[in-house]
Amino acid sequence: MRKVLCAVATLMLWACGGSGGETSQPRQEGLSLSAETGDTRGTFARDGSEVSFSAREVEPGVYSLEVRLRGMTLAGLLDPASGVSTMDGFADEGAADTQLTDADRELLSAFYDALSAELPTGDAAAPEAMYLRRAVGLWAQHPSTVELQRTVMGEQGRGYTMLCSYARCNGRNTGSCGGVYNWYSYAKHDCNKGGFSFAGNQQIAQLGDHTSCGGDEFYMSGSTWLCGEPDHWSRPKVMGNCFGRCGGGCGGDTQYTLDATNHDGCVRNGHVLASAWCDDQFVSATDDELFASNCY
Amino acid sequence: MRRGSRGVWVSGAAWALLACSSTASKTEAAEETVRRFFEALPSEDCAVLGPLLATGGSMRPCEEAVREMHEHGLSLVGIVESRLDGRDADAVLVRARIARDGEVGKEPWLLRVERHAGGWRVRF
Repeated sequence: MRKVLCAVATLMLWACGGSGGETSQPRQEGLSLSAETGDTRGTFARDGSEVSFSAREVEPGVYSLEVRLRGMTLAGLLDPASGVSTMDGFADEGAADTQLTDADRELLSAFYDALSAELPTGDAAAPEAMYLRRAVGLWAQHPSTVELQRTVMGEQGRGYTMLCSYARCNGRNTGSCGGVYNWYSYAKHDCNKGGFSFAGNQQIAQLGDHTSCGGDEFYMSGSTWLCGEPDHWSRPKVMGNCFGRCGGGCGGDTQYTLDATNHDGCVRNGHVLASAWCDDQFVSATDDELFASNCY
Repeated sequence: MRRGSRGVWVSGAAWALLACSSTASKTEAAEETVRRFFEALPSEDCAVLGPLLATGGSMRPCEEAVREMHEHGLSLVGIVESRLDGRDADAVLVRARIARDGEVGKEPWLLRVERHAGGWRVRF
């Protein structure tokens, strides 16, 4: 009888969706990564929280990704040649619905930074590892209000527009612009302040990896560059911290696209990263981040 | 079936019913919170809206958040469904169709409604 009661209690706990939590001891802090042909896997630990991950080439040119953290699984299946991917996320217990929270994004962002630091930059990384890095960069910025289960299609020229040439200045992909800028790119978003055509929702941006600071970006105030972010100023000039690049800040890939520029123009313009006002820019930039080529 | 076993199964069924009714009561409370919030949103009255809004994390102060939502003309078109968060029994995920300035978005918003000491609160 005790066994039956125990079974009923277990069923009850499962039915109530109680979070079991992780009982295992966290591993060593930082990223632990192992790789062999077509298979990259490992763990990442920080402040008692742990991420386990794997990226595998399951068919030629098709990659299966799995990231587990804080009682949930994030999964992706990518076919870059066809520009098709499915993304999903669910609770480990019962595969029930869940959503990314601030704590999840914080951990994923640290994981993304560790992957960007550890893996070779751009195309030099193994393909499955590169797509893992891109997906983690995407999840680290995923707004709570957007469904985790999505099909993402990407096609250059229709789904995403490359802005590689805008990311150069003074003939360089990286390093100082030496005062010679390309003010070609208008980052635009829509929000409670107004539509895309409202000057306060636009920034004139020098894209690229040319300088960085502890704030969101550099912006021109009078004739002075300030570090931080303007809040819906009328078309300020902005630059720095890899403006226009897919992923948060300067990640390990070098994709500069129109939608990523507009997303940066939203979250670096008086809106927080996971702001509902920038959801549409995030969704538009999803295919860019997964499929766009590296610029260099 | 022995009498004792039958009693256990009846008891188990009762517990399962209780669990289901508990889930239903949570989702109903969460949906009601979302409806009440959007009904009161045009007033921008944080004395009413404040207790319905979650705080902390990336949430901004009530006055600021509510002013932005009102300026953007957010309104509730309807609730699609609601489910318990698989990682938190005190949170309900409410899928709701939201309109901006009368224009209904293609995808439902996923709103998080959390149970706090004072009741249920929406986190945007």
